[in-house]
Amino acid sequence: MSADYGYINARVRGLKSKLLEPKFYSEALDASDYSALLSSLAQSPYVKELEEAQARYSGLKVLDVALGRNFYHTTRSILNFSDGEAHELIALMLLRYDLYNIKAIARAKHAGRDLEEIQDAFFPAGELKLPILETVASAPDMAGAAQALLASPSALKGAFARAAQHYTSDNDLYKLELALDQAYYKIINAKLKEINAPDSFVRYIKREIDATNLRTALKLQGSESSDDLFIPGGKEIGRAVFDAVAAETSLGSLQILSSTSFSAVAEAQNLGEAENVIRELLNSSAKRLAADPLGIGVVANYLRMKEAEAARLRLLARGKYYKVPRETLARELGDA
Amino acid sequence: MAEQIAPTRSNLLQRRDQMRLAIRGADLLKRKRDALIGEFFDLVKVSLEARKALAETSKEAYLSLFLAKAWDGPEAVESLSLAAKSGLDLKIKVDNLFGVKVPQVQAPEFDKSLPFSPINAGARTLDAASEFRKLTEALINVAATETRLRRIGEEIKKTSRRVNALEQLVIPGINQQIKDIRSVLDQRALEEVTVLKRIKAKLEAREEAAKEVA
Repeated sequence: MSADYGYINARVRGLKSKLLEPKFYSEALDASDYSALLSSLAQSPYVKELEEAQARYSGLKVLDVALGRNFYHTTRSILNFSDGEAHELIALMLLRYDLYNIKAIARAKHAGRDLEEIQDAFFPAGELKLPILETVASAPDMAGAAQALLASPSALKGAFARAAQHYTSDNDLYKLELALDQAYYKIINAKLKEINAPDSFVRYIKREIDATNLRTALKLQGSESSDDLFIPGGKEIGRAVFDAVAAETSLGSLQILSSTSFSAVAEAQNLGEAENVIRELLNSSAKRLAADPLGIGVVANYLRMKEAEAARLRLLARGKYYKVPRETLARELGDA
Repeated sequence: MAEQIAPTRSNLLQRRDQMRLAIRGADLLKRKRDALIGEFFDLVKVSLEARKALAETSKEAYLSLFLAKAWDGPEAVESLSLAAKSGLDLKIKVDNLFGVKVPQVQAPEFDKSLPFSPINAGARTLDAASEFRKLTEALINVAATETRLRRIGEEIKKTSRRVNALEQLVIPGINQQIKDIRSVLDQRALEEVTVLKRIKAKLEAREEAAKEVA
């Protein structure tokens, strides 16, 4: 299954040129308030989504909705102009948004929440579009939601149906989510084999799995580990390392990571900092992957950059909205 | 309108008993008020500490939420919050403090186990959840202290009003009644003496007249 990477990557480079320049952030840091930040953002490629959001919402929701819609339009556009193997790989990268949205629906069904409460939790950047998500979320219970999802093209529909069936007997959301997480990574690994994905991309996905396992192990520190929490398919963070990291009680004592490329994580002071370090390492991997002008890495790297841009803008917007001191904001922004 | 009381000796004795009871009551109430004021000022210190802790915890919690929404995305934070069941069960015990029923609210034991899978759950969001658990505890602590403070404050006001009523109204009223009764009784005694003196004088005059005739 071939793909016209020359054309796809040229289009993605075009999108990349629209990413906000570092100059924008330094100017935004000096913006007098949130409205001033929105005004300067209205001069950027976010103008259309901002105008739409301003017509319906107010406050921070304007920016949050605009960023969500912009990301959605961007991913749709990439999926539309990509074909063959590239299209499959991009859809695979965006599958995590489907997982994320299905989990949001499952949580809402578990807690007996209605559709209105779920809508703010949707991030429809994957294959599942908003109307489908709303239909699934309108189901009266977990089994109904799983049934409704079966009518969609989602690769996760079968996994959700099986997990929901177990849920009806044990009412255990934790187990349901773990089943979905495991199914998601199984689908990713199976798909990579099925389409005979390039080795460089497989390595990148393995690194993402390593990062996920490391993040999970760090969150588990001081509590009991479980077999279902480890995702097979990584390269450096095997089961033994995962258990050893989870068994530690502090970040500083992670000697076991010194033999891996994640050794910098041991220097982090807290979980938030550890996540920043892991994110930076993944960004570097994506950048290396993007060195091939005729590979999927250009898209993978662009999607990471786009996510980072959204995080920076959310940080700036909240900083200006709550009048956080410039120095504090600049320090936090430095981590983005 | 003042109560009409029959100026009798039994009423006088009754009023004197009432007077003793009112003075003893006022004294007891004053002691209760002083004890409540002592308790009130001790609680004020605790309450100020609780408020300070709430302000600090609140700052931390909102900053962590701010960072979670920025880093993990508002949708991710909303999504994880969907799993949490709303509402909180509080244990409330009623204490008896110098006859005042004051509630003692105990902060709940939070279930720290995650209701959702930790895989791909943002660390900043989990941190914000933990900070908000601390904020809830601080909030309950403030509510508990301030409710006790308000109850005790209300009781101090009520007791002060009772002491004032006894000292300014009841005791002077009884005192006046005692004075009135005593005055009437004294007047009656004086009148009786005068009548008796007149009778005696008349009897003596009659005896004198009888002697002269004889």
